[in-house]
Order: sequence, then C-alpha cells, then structure tokens
Amino acid sequence: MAELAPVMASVHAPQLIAPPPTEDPEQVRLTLEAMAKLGRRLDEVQPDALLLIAGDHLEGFFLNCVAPFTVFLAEEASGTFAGRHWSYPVANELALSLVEDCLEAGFDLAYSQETELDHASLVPLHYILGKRPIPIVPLFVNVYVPPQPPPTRCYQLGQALGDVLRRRPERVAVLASGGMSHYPGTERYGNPDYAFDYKLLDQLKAGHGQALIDCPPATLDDTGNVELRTWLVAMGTIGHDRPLELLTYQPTWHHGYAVGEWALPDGESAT
Amino acid sequence: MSRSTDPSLHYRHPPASAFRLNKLLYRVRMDDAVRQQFLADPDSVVAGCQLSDEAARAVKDLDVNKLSALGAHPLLAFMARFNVEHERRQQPS
Repeated sequence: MAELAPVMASVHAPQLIAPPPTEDPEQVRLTLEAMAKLGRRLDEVQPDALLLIAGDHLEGFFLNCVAPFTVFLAEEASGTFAGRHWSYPVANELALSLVEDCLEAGFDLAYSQETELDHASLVPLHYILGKRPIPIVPLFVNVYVPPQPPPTRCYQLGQALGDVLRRRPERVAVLASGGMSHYPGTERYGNPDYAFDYKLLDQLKAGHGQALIDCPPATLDDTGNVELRTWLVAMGTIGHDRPLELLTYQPTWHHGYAVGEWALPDGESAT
Repeated sequence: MSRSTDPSLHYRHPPASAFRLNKLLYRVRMDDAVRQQFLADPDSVVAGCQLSDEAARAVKDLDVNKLSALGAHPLLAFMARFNVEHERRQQPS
C-alpha cells in the first residue's frame, strides 16, 4: 500500500496568467503564493504521479458526447492558453489502471485519447506542478453542462479512486482544480456569493465535508459553485471528515479564489 | 420541464433545438479559420447553419445574454465573443 500524498484544491482563474488591469495585484500575489506553497509540498513528498481533477469548460469536449467523468489516456497532455503552450507527460499506465479498476468497482468512467488541456488544467499545473518531473493523470468532471453528476456521486468516485490508489505501488498526489463562487458567461459575473463561500469554508475547515456532499446541485449552480464537484472527488479520496487547511481565500470582484490542502488521516504522514 | 432546463439555473441543459447554434459558437470559438471568416464576413459564416433569423442576428452581434436565452450554453457564447474580440484587437485597423 502506497503512502498517501497531499490532497489539494486550487482556483484556476484565467486571470492568474498575465493578470489584466481589472485584477487587484495583492489578491493575485496572495493566491499565487498559496499555489507556490502547494508546489513546495510536492517537493517534500515527491509523489510518483499527480491526479489532476479538473472541470471542462466545453473546450476539451463538446456536445458530441458529454460524460460525467473522463480520464485522459495519452503519452502527453498539452494545451494552449493566452498565446502560451504547455505540455506535460501523462502517467498513462497508471491512468489506464484507474479506468480498469474503477470499472471493476462499479464506476463507469469514460476515457479519451484526444483532448486538449484548457485553462482549468493549465493554470494550476503552471503554478503548482511547474517544471517538476511528475507525470499527471488528468480526470475531467462535467461541471458545466447539465445534467452534471450530483455531489454525492462525485464524492463516491473519489472514494473509489482513493481505494484504488491505496492499492497501487505509486504514491499519488491529488489536485482538484475548481473555483469557488463565480458565474462566467452569465449576467451575474460581477456578483459572487462570498457569504456562501465563507460559510462552506468554515465547515470544511472544521472537517464537516458532509456539508458539501449534501449540497443540492441547484444550490451549487445558484451560488456559483458548480466547479466544487472537483473538490468533492478529491475529498472522497481521503474522507469527508478531514479538515481543510485553507491557505488563502481571496474574494475578488468576480470570483472567490481559494487554495488549500486537506489534512491527511491521523497517523499518516505525507513526508 | 426537466430539472436541467429550469430557467432559474445559471447553466441550463443546452436543448437539442439549439444544437446548431451551440455548434456554430463552438466553431467560432475554437477554429481559427472560422473565426477569421467571421471577422471578415459574418453573414457567410451564419449562412447555411439553418438558424432562425433571431439566432443568426444574435450570433452576428455576439450578444451573450440573447444567445443564452436562445439556448446557447453561456460559456460557449461568452468564449466565442471573447476570442473574436481578442482577435479583432490583434488586427491592424
């Protein structure tokens, strides 16, 4: 059984790459500082792979097939954003095993051999993984195209993934990429629900992850938190009673930027 | 009405009736050649897509709220406009 590695969550706002003048530089600085801290956790733990759980923005996938959960099986994962190109090696054998083992465990994961990483993957990979030679396993969650997988199912997938990962020889870090309250493309873009975020964060910090599992899908939509489905998958890998160590929460004019790491179970150390 | 099409949702299920509209917005967003054509001659891009006059007008105007009301996914409408405006700024005037 491999030791557990950090289970992390991060914002991926496109504004974090080359911030436009609309952004508060101090809020950006504090957010990037927290993301860099997660990167240093990878240095401490030196995992063999990084499971990246990201929400698609109708960019990597279109309406020809909308799968709740899709694993990317490829030799490398790459993408272009804001005129820059990134490419990362994929732990393809591990990724294939995850699909096989989850199918065996009753989780009908989809897989793809052709897609591109969008900003939801590229921003956290750029600031947290950086140039560390750790292969990734991209897992995409349908967060934006209703009907999406309900919170309970996202959490259960995380539990199944956690069970599979603990039986693997590799030590695998987990990173959920998803923003708190924001409403891209809608009339509510400049009016995030910070109050909901603060209340939920208090519960997560106290180890009451059940509060997020119990969120009805309509509440996630209403509060601009559809992307927290990625957090639910990550949380499922270690359990909902683990307190979230919040490294930062920045209530920007359009988005609640949060970065954190869940405390590992008692007696288990990630270093 | 299904839960996924509830008008109070920010992100609703894109109805099958709006598929051609969503496909066009996706192509304008993702395909450089289509976007260039849209900048040069939007009518030629919209023609042949079998859109209603109202939807064709909304695409040419890149009116995100109108497009969403017609069944476009907000992210597709928003990013199509974002990429077109970005490209327009890059072009010599």
